[in-house]
Amino acid sequence: MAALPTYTRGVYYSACRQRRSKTDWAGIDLGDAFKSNLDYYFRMSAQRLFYQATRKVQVAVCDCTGGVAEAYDPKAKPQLSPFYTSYPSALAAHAAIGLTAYLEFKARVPEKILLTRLKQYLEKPAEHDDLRVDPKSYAEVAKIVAEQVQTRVLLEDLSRSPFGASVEMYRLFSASQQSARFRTVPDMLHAVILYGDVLPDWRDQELHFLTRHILGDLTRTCNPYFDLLGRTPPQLLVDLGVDWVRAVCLALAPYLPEPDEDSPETGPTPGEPGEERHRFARARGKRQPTERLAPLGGPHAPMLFDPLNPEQAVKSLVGGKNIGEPAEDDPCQQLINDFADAVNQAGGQQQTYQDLRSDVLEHMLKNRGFSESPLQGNPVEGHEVTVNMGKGQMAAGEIFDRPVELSDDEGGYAELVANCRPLVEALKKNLYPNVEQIPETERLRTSGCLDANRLAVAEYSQVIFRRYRIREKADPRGKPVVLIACDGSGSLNHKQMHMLKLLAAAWLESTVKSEIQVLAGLYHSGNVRPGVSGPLVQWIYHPQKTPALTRKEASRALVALPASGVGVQSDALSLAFMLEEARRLARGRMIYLILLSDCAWNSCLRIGKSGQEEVQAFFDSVYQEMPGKLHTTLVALGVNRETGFENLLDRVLTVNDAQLGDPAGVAGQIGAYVASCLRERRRWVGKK
Amino acid sequence: MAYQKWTDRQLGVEFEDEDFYQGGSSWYGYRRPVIDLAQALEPLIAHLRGYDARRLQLETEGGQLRDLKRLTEIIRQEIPIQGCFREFKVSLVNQTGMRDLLRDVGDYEVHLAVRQLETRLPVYYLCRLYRLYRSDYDLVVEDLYLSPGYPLTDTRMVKLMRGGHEVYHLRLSPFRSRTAKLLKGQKSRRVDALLSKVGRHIFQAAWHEDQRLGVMAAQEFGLPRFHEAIEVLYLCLSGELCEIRNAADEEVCRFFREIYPQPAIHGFLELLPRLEGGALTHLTQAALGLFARLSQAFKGFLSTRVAWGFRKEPAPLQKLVFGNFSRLARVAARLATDPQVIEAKEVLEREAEEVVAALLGASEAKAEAPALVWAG
Repeated sequence: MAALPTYTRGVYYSACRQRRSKTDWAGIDLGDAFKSNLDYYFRMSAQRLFYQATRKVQVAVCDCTGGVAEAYDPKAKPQLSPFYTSYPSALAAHAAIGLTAYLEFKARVPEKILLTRLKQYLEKPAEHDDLRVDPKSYAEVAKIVAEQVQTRVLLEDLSRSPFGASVEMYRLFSASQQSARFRTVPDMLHAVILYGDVLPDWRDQELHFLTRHILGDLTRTCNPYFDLLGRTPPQLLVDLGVDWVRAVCLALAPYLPEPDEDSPETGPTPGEPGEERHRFARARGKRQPTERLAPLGGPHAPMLFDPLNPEQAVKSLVGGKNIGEPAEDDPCQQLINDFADAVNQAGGQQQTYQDLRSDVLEHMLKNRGFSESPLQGNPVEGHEVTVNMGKGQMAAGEIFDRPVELSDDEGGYAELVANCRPLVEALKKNLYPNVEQIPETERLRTSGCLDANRLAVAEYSQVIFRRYRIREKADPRGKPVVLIACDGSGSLNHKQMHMLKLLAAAWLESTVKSEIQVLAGLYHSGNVRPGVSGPLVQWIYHPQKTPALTRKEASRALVALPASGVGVQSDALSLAFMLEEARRLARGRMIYLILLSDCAWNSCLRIGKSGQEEVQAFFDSVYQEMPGKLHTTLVALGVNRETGFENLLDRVLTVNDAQLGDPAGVAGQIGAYVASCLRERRRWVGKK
Repeated sequence: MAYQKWTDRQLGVEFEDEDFYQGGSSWYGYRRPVIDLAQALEPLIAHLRGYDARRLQLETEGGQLRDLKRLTEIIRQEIPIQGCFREFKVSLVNQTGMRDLLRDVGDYEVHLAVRQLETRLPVYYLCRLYRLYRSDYDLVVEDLYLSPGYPLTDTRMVKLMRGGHEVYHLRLSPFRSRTAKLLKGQKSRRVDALLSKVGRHIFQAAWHEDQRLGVMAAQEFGLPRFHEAIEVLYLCLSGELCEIRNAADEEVCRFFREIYPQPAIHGFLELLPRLEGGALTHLTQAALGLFARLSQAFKGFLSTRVAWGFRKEPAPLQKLVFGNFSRLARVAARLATDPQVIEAKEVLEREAEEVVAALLGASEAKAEAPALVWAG
């Protein structure tokens, strides 16, 4: 038997019973920010906490680097990757904050002091150390060592700052992502220098003998420096780093190729486990894969440098060529390429609309260390959208959405508000009435022990018998939802974009004190994550997706938008997606769509129609699907001709080139538009 | 083709109000062709088995270039599978086609998860789900196929991609065979019914993704009392106690005695029917205090300084646990004989035992007290 029904504070689709869960007794914390199984409202609250905490740490970094905290402008985006791994979410939140703090620091202090100090040494390290090794390989290894030591020294320095705990948390998170396979020398350097004090003793692992030798030498070299790190005052950390780099380089030198021109292979020279030393050979020329393959899961001979990409990593496992162009004529190489391709297709991430899979992300994070993570800023969600193009024709596409970050630019915000004031005034009149006030005469109806029928006998004033009362007659279609769809594509110049921001801000501000639901989004295209770009809707205000608590605050998001349009828009797909979101919120109520566009329509559905035809077909089918429940106003920005939508949409408002720089003139036009809308809607409400 | 209209009597399943949402196979009115899931998926499972055999051979014994060719062929080979409405031909490289096939055959209940190993070779987990629309987690009620080496860091919870997002699911499938034995070979749907019942009422509250750090530490460091205490406290705090009291029949109690032996949860389920309403409220309030106490004890455990690394330098345990979360077993094995860890474990276990005793004991005392209150 189920418990008595309870109604949640906010379920996405409708009010229904939700079971008791941890958030009921433990509240919400940072770790809940990106848990997809939680309700939007819980997640948004947690996200607000997370972004606030991140911002606080970034301000502390700004303060610590000598910046002015009051005029703070973030240099790094909040890093989100730890949330999407299998690491415990409460710890992942602090790790994410730590990486953001580290990147903020790096952005503010881009100088790499250690590398600057070692500049001369790093140019010709073999000469400085007077070693007989391949100078190119040695220089490359020295550079990698110096980068790693620079990072480690900086981490030690930052761990003593007020935000040090979260930076250390990210180091521990990153250590947890490390593999024990150590496939390359940079892998070993990364693991030993950055996480040597945390990782378990590698001696009980099954490793290739060369890996074991290198790790042994590296660990013996680095251990004294780990002890010294904690005790060294900040001003001497660079000196410590210089010694450390040179010591590690010297420890690795015996493994590097000799300056011998005849060395034939890229891997380590053949040798038996019992031998004293083994060297890597110089990287050049083709390498023929052998017929016999070593166990893929077993210990492998390490490579001197990293493979280029995951596909190369697979090829390297099975003995393929690691670096260079594919050899088309070599059947063995082709077989390996085919295998790597099949493995990548079967195991890699294929659907781009899905979140990055945790295993794929963890593989990516292994070697990224302290660089920008693949997921940052605001979470991007992917959606599959099906668009009805009428006459039974359906088209589908993938689209992504994310909220726009709120800007901290007070000056920009004040300017935007001031500039859009005339427009707000014009729009502020009761634009979307859903309640009509009707004065009515009706008899007093008393309650309680007074008998209304006998009051007349008591010679009371007429006012008792005849009084006016204002009755509110609600539109049966309920409170409307206003959807402001802004075209943010590259075809909009800075004048059009400026007017778009003013109009969007005006519509947002004019509905501040009303109970109308508002959705505002900018549609164009952009990078979703590394290597994936696609149609994108950036929500300026969405009651369930944006961090802005009020519509007034949402105007800050407009300040954060670029000065002119960016990317290529997918009009029909984006409008279909945004309207779908509005319909979900409206639950059958009236939707007012305000479309701000330059009317340079783009084709996106690959059904053999032009962009304008796609949008027209879309509106045709939507009007049929929602009779009387959709009212569309197209605001054509910088358009001096007819748009072609005059007979299709409810209103078309043209702001020509000359009017783009004149908000007051546009306000007059908006005033006339509002008046016509009011007349129209009065008729509608009256009819019902 | 034969069609079937499911009814609870035919299936032997007790439906709850939350099964009746807008759409889905549990609804009475929903009709679809009858299909034998095991038979329909047999070609796919056989194919996955063949692939894994080749993969394991290549991973453990190595091979020759022709083995790579054979493995590539297996990965690209199209498998003919008869769905509900049409025949599908899908290969492992066609992930979208595979998803469509499983939606058709499994009616949105069968899921195939893919993971890349460190060697970048894919491994698979084919499972059957039971959706709980008004709870945080859905249930995995049957493992149809699990590739050897599939990364399951926590055997209780598994991340699956649903609707474009990876979310945790409660994994009750390991209990399936023992549940079938408990029910003495009754129909598969009956096993589903019991698993969904304990999943819905007990595990939904007792298991949570935020416990993973504590539970994994408990499993790897050998802290059974601590593990029990975490689960029973979550059950008490997140569960609908009135609902659990009604759901905890003899079958459910036997489940926690024989299939998933958890003395604390079993004791808690035995206790609930004896409590008055006021005592139930008191129980939740007491659990909140005890949860804070247990958290403090775990914090104390994690702050233990242990000898670590090449030169056995002292380091706080939390640094090692957080930095080696993915290889906690190795850390625990390394520290198994460390006297500091042994002592810290004893302290934590004692505290956990006291917490469980306090939760069950406090409520026992309260169970008698309300009679006086009400009488007064």
